[in-house]
Amino acid sequence: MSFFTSNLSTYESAIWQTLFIVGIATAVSGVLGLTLGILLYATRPGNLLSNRPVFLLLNVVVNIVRPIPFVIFVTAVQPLTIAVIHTSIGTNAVTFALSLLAAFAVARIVEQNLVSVPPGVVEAAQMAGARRLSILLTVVVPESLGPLILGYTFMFVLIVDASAQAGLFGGGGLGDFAITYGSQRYNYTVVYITVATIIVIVQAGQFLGNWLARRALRR
Amino acid sequence: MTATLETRQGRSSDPACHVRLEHVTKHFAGRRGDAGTLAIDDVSLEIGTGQVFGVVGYSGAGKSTLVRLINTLEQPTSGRIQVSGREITTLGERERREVRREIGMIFQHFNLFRSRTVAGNVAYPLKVAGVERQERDRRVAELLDFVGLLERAHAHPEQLSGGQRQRVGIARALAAQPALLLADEATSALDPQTTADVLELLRRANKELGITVVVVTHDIDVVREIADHVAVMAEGRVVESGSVYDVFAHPQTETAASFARAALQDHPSPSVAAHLREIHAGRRIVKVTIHSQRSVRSTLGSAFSAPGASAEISVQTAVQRAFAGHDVGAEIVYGAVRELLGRPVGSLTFALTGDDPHIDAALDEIRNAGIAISEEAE
Repeated sequence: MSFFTSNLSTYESAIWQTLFIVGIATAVSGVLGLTLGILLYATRPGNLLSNRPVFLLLNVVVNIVRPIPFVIFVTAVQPLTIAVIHTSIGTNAVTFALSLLAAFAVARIVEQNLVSVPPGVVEAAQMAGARRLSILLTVVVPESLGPLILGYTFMFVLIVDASAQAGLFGGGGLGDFAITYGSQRYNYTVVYITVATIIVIVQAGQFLGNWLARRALRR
Repeated sequence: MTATLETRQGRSSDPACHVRLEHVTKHFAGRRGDAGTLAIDDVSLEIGTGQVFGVVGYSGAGKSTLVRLINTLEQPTSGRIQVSGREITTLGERERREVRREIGMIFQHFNLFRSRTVAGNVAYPLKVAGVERQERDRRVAELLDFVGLLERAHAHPEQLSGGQRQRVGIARALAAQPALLLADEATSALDPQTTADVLELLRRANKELGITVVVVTHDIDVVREIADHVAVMAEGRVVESGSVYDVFAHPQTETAASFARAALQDHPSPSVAAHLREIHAGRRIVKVTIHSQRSVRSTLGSAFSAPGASAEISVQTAVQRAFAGHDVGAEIVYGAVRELLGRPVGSLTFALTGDDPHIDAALDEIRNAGIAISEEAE
């Protein structure tokens, strides 16, 4: 415990780093993934913006990128990270890479949920004379909002998980803190306190997600 | 050049025709090595303005595809379709949206927006059409009142019964004041009482709002209940069409005949016919077809029916008197007579007692009066 009283600020900044990485990555991947997911759904042959070449391209890209492990992805995406963030290490660089990788996973989750909207509901909107983009945003997305929120919650937990690897690239965060001050010094108190902190973050996110989903589903 | 001009003029030249299909086919491509499906096979059809038009057929007859061609959600492989005189087969997405705004659509599974309230569902087409908030609220209240769901305005679809959901569907379909209402198996998921309520609403939409209603169904009772015209579909073709009375009273094809029997329920099924022969063993069994037939009146009517009496009375009276006049005992053992568009249609099955010469004489007299009569084989 004496460690914490003298290194409280290190612990605090690790929490903030994790919250920063997770917060930005969740938000950015949420928006990017939603866009990509809607495109995947809409361009699928037979759907609103049916376009086989675009669909096949997006589908292949998502399938290739999504299963890449985060540690490897950070390295692979370095040129792009440098182009955008002007450095390949540090919190910002890691957050960028994580946002990107998570976007592809979110895209798949979004697509899978949108597919479950009954085609007849889309037809009803079409018969009202609505534009296709408007149908996607004001009918298809709201109709699957509950499952979408649950999908996002699931992604949030995965992002927290991946953020623990930020330390490998100078990104800091709770994972880095637990390894540097905990496991490498055989200080289990630090490890357990970090674990507890991450559990709190995950539970808070899960609780919020469940609550929002319940509201959206009116259950 | 002249052809396109004629099409454009068609809008005003034939106001009586709301929907016109000319040699329409729709082919759905199959996967590699598969010939695909010919869902609509050379269909020509006219649906008059203000009609309640039934399209009836068994599953897979192409009814739903027909609806999706009329509402522009699908485009035909060949042929022409006009709605309100406008050629819709060559339109782009933007123009098709305009056409759709003039068409209301109700579905078998209602297809309500679960994410919106009842009022929100009805308001959706109005929002799309850019109707101002105040006017929108007023219209929504009016529409919900029309379908009798004003007090459920703030409920969500899952809180409603099936019949209530379909009424919301109707209100939503009517919101943008369409001239044409398409109902695709709209009552097929509903119980008989709810079906009657929904049909009554469609009838009111037709009578009070002057909307042309197209009812697509496998349920011939629905057609009998509200349609004035009907097209019978089988294997992608319209095998028969005309007034409901003509198609039911004088079906020309086996498909139409089987729908007519199902609608009228006047015809003993093979097992019932066998049973009738069994319990009336030794008696001859004949079936008389009832429809309003002017020839009956002209040959027999003056003799024994009061002027102005309905034709159905004269057919039945003619038959009864012919039997009585030849000392033939005739007992009605099966049958039904229903009224379609104010005219009687159906058939009656009699079991006869008497000796053969008398029976034959009676049957001849009936046939000579122009009444269709057929004898069940022993």
